[in-house]
Amino acid sequence: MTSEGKGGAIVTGAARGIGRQIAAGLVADGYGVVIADVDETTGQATAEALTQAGGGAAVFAKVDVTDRASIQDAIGVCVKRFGSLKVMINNAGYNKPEPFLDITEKTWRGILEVNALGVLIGIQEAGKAMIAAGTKGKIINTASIAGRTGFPDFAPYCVSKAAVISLTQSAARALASKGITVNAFAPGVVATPLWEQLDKDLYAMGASTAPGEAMGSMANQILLGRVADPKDVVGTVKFLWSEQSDYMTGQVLVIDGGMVLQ
Amino acid sequence: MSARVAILTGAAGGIGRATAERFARDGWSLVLVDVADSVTAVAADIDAGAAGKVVGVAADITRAEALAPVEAALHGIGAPLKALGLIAGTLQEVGPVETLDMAEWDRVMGINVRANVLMMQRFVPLLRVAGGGTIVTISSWYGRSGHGLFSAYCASKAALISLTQSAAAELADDGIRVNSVAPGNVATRMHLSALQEEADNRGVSFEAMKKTEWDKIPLRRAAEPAEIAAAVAFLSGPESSYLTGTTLDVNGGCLFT
Repeated sequence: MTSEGKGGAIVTGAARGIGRQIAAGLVADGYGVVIADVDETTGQATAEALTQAGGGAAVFAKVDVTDRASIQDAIGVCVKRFGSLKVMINNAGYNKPEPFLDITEKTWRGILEVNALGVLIGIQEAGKAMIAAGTKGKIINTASIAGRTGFPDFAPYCVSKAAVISLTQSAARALASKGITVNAFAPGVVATPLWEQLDKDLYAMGASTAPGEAMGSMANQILLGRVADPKDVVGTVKFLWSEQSDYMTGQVLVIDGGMVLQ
Repeated sequence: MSARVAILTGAAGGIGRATAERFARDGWSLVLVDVADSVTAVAADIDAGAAGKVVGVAADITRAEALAPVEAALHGIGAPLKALGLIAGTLQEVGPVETLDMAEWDRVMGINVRANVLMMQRFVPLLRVAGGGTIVTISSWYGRSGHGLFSAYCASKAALISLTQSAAAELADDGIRVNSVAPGNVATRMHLSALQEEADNRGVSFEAMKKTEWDKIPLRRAAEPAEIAAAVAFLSGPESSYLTGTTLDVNGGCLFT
């Protein structure tokens, strides 16, 4: 399989964590993948590592998802390098816990800007490029179980992920007639840098009494008895980018090892 | 790949047959079950082109005693049971709650709910013996909310989603994952004849009726049975290894949950 075998894909926030694993899955499946991330050093290293792993190929593009021009540039790179944009994964996001009564406007705006507006821009620009090329593409957004229910210590993140779910539904209706499907996946507790930081922050905040406790207490509620490894989400996201899910649009697939049962 | 067997119910119907074809292509051996005798011919047909062994058993799975030949067929194949595909289902005679014939209620609940409990009771021990496996039920977008004139069908499919979650909670420690696929409209004989019936009721053409219904779906068409089969295959395979208790909505966007 050549790097152009299945066409191009973009994963935002792909330098590490879930995004990196999804990018690895796309490369292994024969896609050319743009590693779109604000972190140039880690992003470059990820692109090189994934290319060496074989299958398709990966290139890095420095992207701030809140900056429309940088997303447009990444799409340009994808089309130029891999011939098309078939799959857009709007994955970039971050969390910063604060006790509910202490949430600041700065935290709110920062998280909503990246996690919600960033996804809107990603869908819009990918959608326009796919329509222009006549591509029946797949747009996949990273939501969260925090978008299905509110948690007390990181409300802006919950709001932003509820927004991702809502954007997924609106975009699915808006783009269905163009043959573009839009779905989301909602991870539960995943052993990623985001969660490790969250666990530390919750401990520092006094919301837990020991490091690892916040994550551990969440894990106790998981039927499969463990938090997810980033690799655990890849199979489901692969299902969403494959033709196996062609009849699905506007849906949110929860990958939480059995926590919320929704 | 080492030998593994799946039991599929409703295997002579649209989704069931498509799932059987898909699983056979993926290398599974199969016990195909259906109330219709034609299931043995379906099995023979699929068996002819399959790497694994495919056996058909005609059985009314709403009766516990009817499951013995299914288990016998499984033992006849002689490989571990790794998947149950609980696909058998029925529609209801359309009508208001007020005048619903309770025999019809019992029939719909019997096939769509009770039979699936019986299947789990009989075959979960064998999945456990095999070191774990998967169970996939076929619910419906009509199980996600109630619809007028379809009370028995909607209630039965909601019950099936709930049953799926309870079983997932109970069986997680045994390495048995239990999930559901909730289709929207699927272009099966069941769906197409329902469209015809509704067209006749309204005095419009089949094509007009089909357009009216399918235009309500964002993707503007019913699913192919193979597209539901693909979701069952996904939930029965390693790529869904962190999913349990979930209901996958494969509905062309007709309902967002």
